Amino acid sequence: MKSLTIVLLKIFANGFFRVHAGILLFIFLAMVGVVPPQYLIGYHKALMLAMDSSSVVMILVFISWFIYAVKSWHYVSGQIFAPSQHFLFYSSNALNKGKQIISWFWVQAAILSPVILYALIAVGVGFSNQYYLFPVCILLYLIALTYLSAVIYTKQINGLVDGNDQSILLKLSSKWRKPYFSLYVYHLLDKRKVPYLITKALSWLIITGVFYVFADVKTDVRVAGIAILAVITAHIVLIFEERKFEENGLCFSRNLPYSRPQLFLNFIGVYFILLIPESIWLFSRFNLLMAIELLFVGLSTVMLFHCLLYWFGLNMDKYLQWILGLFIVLFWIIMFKLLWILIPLNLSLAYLLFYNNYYKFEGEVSDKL
Amino acid sequence: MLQFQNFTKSYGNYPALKIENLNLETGIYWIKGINGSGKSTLLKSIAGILAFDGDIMLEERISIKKQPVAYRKLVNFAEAEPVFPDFLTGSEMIALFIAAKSAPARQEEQYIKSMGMQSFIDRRVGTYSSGMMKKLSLLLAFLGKPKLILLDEPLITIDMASLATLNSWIRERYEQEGTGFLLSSHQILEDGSLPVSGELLVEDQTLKFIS
Repeated sequence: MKSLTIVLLKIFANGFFRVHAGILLFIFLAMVGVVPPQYLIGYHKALMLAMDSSSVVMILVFISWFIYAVKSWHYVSGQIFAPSQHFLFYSSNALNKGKQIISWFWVQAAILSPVILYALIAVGVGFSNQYYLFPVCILLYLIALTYLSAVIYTKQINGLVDGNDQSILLKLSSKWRKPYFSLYVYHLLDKRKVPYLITKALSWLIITGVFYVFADVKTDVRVAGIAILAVITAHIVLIFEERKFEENGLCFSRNLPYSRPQLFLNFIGVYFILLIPESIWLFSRFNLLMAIELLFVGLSTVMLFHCLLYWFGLNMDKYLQWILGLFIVLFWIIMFKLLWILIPLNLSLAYLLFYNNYYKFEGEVSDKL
Repeated sequence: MLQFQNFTKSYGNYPALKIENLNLETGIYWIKGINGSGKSTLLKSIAGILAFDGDIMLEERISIKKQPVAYRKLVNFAEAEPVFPDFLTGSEMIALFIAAKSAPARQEEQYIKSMGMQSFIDRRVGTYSSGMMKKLSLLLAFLGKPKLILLDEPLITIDMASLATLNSWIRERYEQEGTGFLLSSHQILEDGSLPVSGELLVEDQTLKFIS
């Protein structure tokens, strides 16, 4: 049993954190950065006491934890049916159900560990302030949520693989031609709908948030520029996914006679399609010239973020550090209203990285998920 | 046909393959070697998929490094264990390769027919068995007008009847269009069904002629 737990933890819990490192970091920073540092502890203590004493707050918190759990179900279910995990279907389910459920219970506990850690502190705070009922509810809720997840996973792994799932969008597009540059878009429609929708929701939140905060200067091109920069930064999960798909699913394409300028334009096309919702917003809100300028700022930045990955490979930790650094640099360039300089600068840097590294594939994919 | 110039492929500090100067005349060659000797690494490097130091020239004038596009138009490759995006159908993969490799119209039809692929060619590759996948990848390697076709482990996973068909494809392209072939295998069918020009061995991190 122990060995199964270790294997499952390595595949699913580690995988979950690797894939969601960006969004979890974002949530963590949002929770820490929401108030000035000197009020941080007081703020969270108040929040925890509210959870321990108010049923409304507790239920709201339960709902947000539930959303987190649903996200993890989605990830784990997707991974269970990935080809590299097929061996589980003829190994793990030879153990009795109870043992399997215990293993999966630990996996889900590991995935929920940020939530559990926060909840345990909240329970401690509650007990020390003579609140007992709601803290016990919190504990029971988390145990039940983890157990339910374990049951869902165990059911999936003991069922039979159907092998005939296909997204409705792909069925509809079965008659269309699929040129090379469109493949990633189809891949998103087929397998990555949730990350795409989450990214778009994040985009919307960022745009609304930035314009809410800067309501007094909302016609300033710098505000819009910063909103676009933040929107593109929210796309890093999709950019990383794109490179991963290119390495794992389209490895044969390095043998195809496409020139590097052609491929570079091809990727601009891919990101233009992914940014259509944002483009609609840009063109409906700003005058034509400004909208074009902002769209190109977005596309050039997304290309820079994309081409970085050719340079150092699929390394999420390194990638996040670079994105953070570049975000700060680009932020200041925008603050100085140098948007028109940013476009050729980003594009030439991106092209340089792409041109010099595209064929330097060493045959080792570091993040093979 | 193919010229290696100070070819070195290393993984980190580990030198995987080193071929100083070697010239292969047009022909059909078997590349032998035990598991892990570097056959796939060699073929993937020649195909332009893996990076390496030095250069490889096709017909003494087209360098993989200096004319990457022209080179790739003339060198086709079928992987040992092919992976394609599973939402695409066999026909869509073929259309993609026909466009990329500028293949003559309807070139694929005879291949689909002779390999008996009509029944599954319009299905998503995600539903293919490993044998079906292998047949598709072999077919893709014959599209266009390549001067050199690289087939990594062409004998594995396909049935005997399909093997005979594959042999006839190879013979036909070699005799009619002078296309060269590099075929890798750790076990070789030496039944004389192919006009083999020579055998090469990947051993001690290099490539040697053995016959």
